[in-house]
Amino acid sequence: MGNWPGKTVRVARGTWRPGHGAPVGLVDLPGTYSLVPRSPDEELTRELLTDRGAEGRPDLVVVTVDAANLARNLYLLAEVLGTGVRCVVALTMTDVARARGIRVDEAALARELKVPVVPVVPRRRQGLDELADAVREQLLDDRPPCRLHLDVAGDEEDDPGLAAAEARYAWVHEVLAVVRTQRSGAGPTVSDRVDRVLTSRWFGIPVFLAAMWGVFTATTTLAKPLQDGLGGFVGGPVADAASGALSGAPVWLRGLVVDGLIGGVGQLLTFVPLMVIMFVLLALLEDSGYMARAAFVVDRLMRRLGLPGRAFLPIIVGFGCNVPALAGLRILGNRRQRLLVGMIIPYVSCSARLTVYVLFASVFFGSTAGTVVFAMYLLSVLLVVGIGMLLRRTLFRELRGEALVLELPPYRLPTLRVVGTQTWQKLAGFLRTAAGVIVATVTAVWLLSAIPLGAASGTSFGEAPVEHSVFGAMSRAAAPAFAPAGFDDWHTAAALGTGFVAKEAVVATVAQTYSADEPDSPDHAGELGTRLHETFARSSGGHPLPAVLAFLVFLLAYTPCMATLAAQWQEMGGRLTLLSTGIQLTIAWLLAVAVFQIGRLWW
Amino acid sequence: MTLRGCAPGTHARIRRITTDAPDRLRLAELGFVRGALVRVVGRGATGGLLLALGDARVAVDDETAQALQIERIERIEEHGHHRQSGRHVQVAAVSRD
Repeated sequence: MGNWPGKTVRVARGTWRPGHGAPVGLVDLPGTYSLVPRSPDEELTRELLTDRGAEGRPDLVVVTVDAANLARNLYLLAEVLGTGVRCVVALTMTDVARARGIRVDEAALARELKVPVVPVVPRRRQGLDELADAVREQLLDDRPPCRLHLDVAGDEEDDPGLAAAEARYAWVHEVLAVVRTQRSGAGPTVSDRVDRVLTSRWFGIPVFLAAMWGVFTATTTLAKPLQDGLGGFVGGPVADAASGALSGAPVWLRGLVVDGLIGGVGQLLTFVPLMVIMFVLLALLEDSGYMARAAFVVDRLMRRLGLPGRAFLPIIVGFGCNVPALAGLRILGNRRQRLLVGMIIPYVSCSARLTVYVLFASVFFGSTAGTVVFAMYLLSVLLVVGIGMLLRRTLFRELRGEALVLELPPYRLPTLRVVGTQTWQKLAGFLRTAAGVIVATVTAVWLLSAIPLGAASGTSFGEAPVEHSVFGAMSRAAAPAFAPAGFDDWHTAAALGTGFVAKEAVVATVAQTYSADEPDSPDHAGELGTRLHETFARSSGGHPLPAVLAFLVFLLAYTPCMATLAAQWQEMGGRLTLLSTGIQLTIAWLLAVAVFQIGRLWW
Repeated sequence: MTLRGCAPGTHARIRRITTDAPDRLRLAELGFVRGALVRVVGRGATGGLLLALGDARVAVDDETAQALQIERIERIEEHGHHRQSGRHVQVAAVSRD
């Protein structure tokens, strides 16, 4: 057991029939180093084994013990045996240990511990029957289970916990002396030699950057054609087929199904390749053992920013898309750290926002457009660091200055089964949470923009121009809120409204509200550019440039999209997601107002 | 002396650990206790040390390395077996209640 990324942090329950015996309820406890908890996951293990007393705890605990890392694993076992719960030891990694010249005498171990010890190789499904037999036998045994007593003659300067820890290690080393033999001395292993290169001063950072470049490229460039293909398939053949099937149905029903529901499903599906790639990469990095090294390599840099070492990965991925970045939070072992990083990810400027920056920057700033786009990215990094600091001084005070003590698992080849299972489980989790939210929001926005209002109330449902729909009216009502930021206009408010659903849709909405064609290339906005100039000149009272900058800043800092909200909801729960959204809107508005009010003094 | 700044390949025995109580317990649970034998495997790219503690490999930052007071030794004997320094720890056998 260990607590490096990828270990169980959620509790799985099930039923098991050990060797055709009576069925037993099974609880997969979160991995832990000790029964003194440091995170809610570890607390659960402690609660089940000790706090509930003899009645409330499980009838039997199967403790997996890593033969290649015996000392630390026996330490936890000493704690478990100390509670007096009935135990069976599953001895794993005997093959890895043997490859390193380490032999563990299972019979001697069982004699020392006075509990059954069964060697298992889960990857090859070996030893599982024997384990089942041992469990069944132990459950039928009505003698009281063994209990390990360690007498601690603590000295006065120690706290009792520490003295007990030392006593347990003293016991562990006595057991080791009997059960473990090593052919050669404790010299450097293959992993050690690899580590001397991969974490070294010269290669550590370049290898890290190369790995991150790979992850970033895969979640952007590699995912793009797959996303476009899926989106095109749903928006094209599937939508056409549905349209055809509903040709006899009323216009509103066809619109609802084709533009609302199928549009929503299409949007959801475009995230699937992205998520699959992200989850496969995560599993590969974790299972190979490199993730822990990467955290070690960048620990100091991240610490300067006040963030945990492993937070680099979700943040880097976030520049591609925030949704897989939030899913990547699972690499952070500590739940509070996950929440902290989960609240700052939305400020990482994703690639969907880039399309909007490019359109507006090239319309308004011409040859300096590149600088404006770069400034947006710079601001994004500043926001990540700044908001991170703000949160750590307020909601997350206890997270400051945690020491890095990180166990590094040995390098190994990732297995297809582990990578496949993890990817599927995480993808299924994402779809369960996100599907409803995304489809419902896309449908709701379609409905709002389809219901005619005011001047257009004579027109039938779904045929009025956006301006004369409920959505248009809502945009008009919301627009004055942006007056202090210089963009009090229904077109921009509508764009921000759809931007709440998906930033990819912002450019399309802008074009739609002006009844102009969506520009083929954002660099050549054509007529749309002229109309935008007019709008911003009017709404800003003659200071269009600061108003556009304010608009872009707002776009950067407010809620990225519905899918991000859904992913946040899954990772952090509803309350914090709403709080986080509230903070985003407040900060976005304040920053936009500041940019406009200060900017118009010059321009 | 402390472990901070020790070169890769250094073998050492831990004499004292001078961090705060919660961190000290966390280190102890991983096996950083008085008398434990460690080997410096490597130094991290941005600081910190990679340590071998028996079969386990543990990365620590510079502050933690600074808190590990050690004496250098020739070489870790087989099993990485450790000795208690001036403490009396009685170990009772596992027994049935």
